[in-house]
Amino acid sequence: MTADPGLEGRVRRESTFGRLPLLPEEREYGAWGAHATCFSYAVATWCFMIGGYAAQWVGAIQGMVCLIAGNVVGVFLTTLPLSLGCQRYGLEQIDFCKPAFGQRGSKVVLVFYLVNMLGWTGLILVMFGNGIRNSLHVLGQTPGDWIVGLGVALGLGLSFLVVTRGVHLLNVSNALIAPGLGALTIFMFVMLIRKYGWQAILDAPPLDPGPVPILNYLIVFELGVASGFSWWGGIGFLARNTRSRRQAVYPEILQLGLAMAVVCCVSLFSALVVRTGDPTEWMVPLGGVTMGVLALTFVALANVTSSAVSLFASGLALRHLKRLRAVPWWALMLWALLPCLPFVFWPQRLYDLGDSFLAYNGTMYAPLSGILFADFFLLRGQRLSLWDIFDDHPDAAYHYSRGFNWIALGSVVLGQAVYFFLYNPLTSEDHALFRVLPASLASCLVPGVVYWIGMRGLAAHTAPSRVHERHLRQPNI
Amino acid sequence: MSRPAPGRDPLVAELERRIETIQDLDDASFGVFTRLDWILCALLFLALPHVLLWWFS
Repeated sequence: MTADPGLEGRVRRESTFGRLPLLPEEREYGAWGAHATCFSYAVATWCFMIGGYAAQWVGAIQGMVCLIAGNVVGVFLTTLPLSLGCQRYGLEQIDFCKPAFGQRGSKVVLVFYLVNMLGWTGLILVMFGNGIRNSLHVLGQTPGDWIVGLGVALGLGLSFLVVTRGVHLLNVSNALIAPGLGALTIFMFVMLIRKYGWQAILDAPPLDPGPVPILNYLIVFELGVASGFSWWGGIGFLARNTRSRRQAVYPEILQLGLAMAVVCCVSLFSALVVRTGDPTEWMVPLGGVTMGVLALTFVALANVTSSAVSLFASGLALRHLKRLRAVPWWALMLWALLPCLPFVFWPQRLYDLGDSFLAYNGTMYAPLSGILFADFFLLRGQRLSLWDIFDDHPDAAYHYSRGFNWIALGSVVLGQAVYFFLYNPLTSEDHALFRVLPASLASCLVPGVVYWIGMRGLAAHTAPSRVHERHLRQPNI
Repeated sequence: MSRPAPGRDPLVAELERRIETIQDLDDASFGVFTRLDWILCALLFLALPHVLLWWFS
């Protein structure tokens, strides 16, 4: 070991929160650790929002099936290549994309990732603003809708404080918030059964369904799959910290897929019987004024923690950009906050687009998952060259054409086209095939197969370029 | 962490050391994911959800 404590600290930071591949002895999670961490990520306020969106379209039983089945399928499709690859090589997910997309092409994936993270941040903070407005309503005040935008601004400020005070504060908040949200979910379920009864939940019609019941059902399944795909950004980070392959795969599917879906179901039931999709309007009818306001305050705190986690992940991702590598952390966070500003000015309009945003995640991550599956398992037989991943030299195997693998990028576009052909989440128009073929599954399979066929012709790029050289010519760290 | 060569960024030297270590490690050091795991996952997490979806449609 070096005697330089500054260097040691830098290496520790770069391995845990940066891009240095994690060595097996540095990995934190065994089986229980992986389950606990995945659970604490899974049980967050976005579950409440997803259940609320589902209640617009379907009733309790169909909603429950769609949310559980969809979430599990979404996490399964996205987790296998990412988990097994990131776990084997200690990589975070954007670096894992380089063999398929190329050194620069992976930055395109980074854009998808940032849109996902910052979109969630904005939506969660609107929920924070709604919580403030509804708390004031309960206390007899009637502020205008401007209070929601002000709440978003306040939430952004608080999240900024949390992420710039360090990871420790974030970890402490998460350690308190996740069990608290778990307890709140159980409390909500008990109150639902006591006040309304199971039959009332089963009988409650959807809030604002479309005219075709089967289409409503399939749309909610797509929402479930898309919310599973939304974990794409967190899966690599979790998997690289696990010690064995099984510890990487099973906790992610069971916690991020199944446990999250169960929490979404409780929020679906609440939305159906309280007759509103806004989670901040459920607490008072379910728990009474005192418990309701306490619950609202807790959910508000939980929203800040959830958005801080998203901001933190976005900050780490921004470190992939050369110009931002040396920027101080607080300045990087300010950069990450900028795209969230529209939520301050048009909170409700953007919040209402939340289900379209969820579907967007499906259109982005379904093709990505199919391509990464074909690349890692079928083309490369689970063998990657770390030398080529961390080398920007034009002769490196994953450089392709000026840093872009156009076959992979073209396949993503094709996957999106397939999704929109089967079901357009912006207009809710569908093709007859959508009734028998889920859009997310098709937009995962088709680009995966096309990419696999296309890459078979470029066999040189599927093998490591230099087996014997043991140095990086243009290191990209 | 070995001492880097003069003029070489110590972080790059550390990265190269890690790459060498991880690349040389046997696959078995990272645990197993067998054919049975694949079958179990495909059945439970892909096929069964679709069967449920179809059943309740």
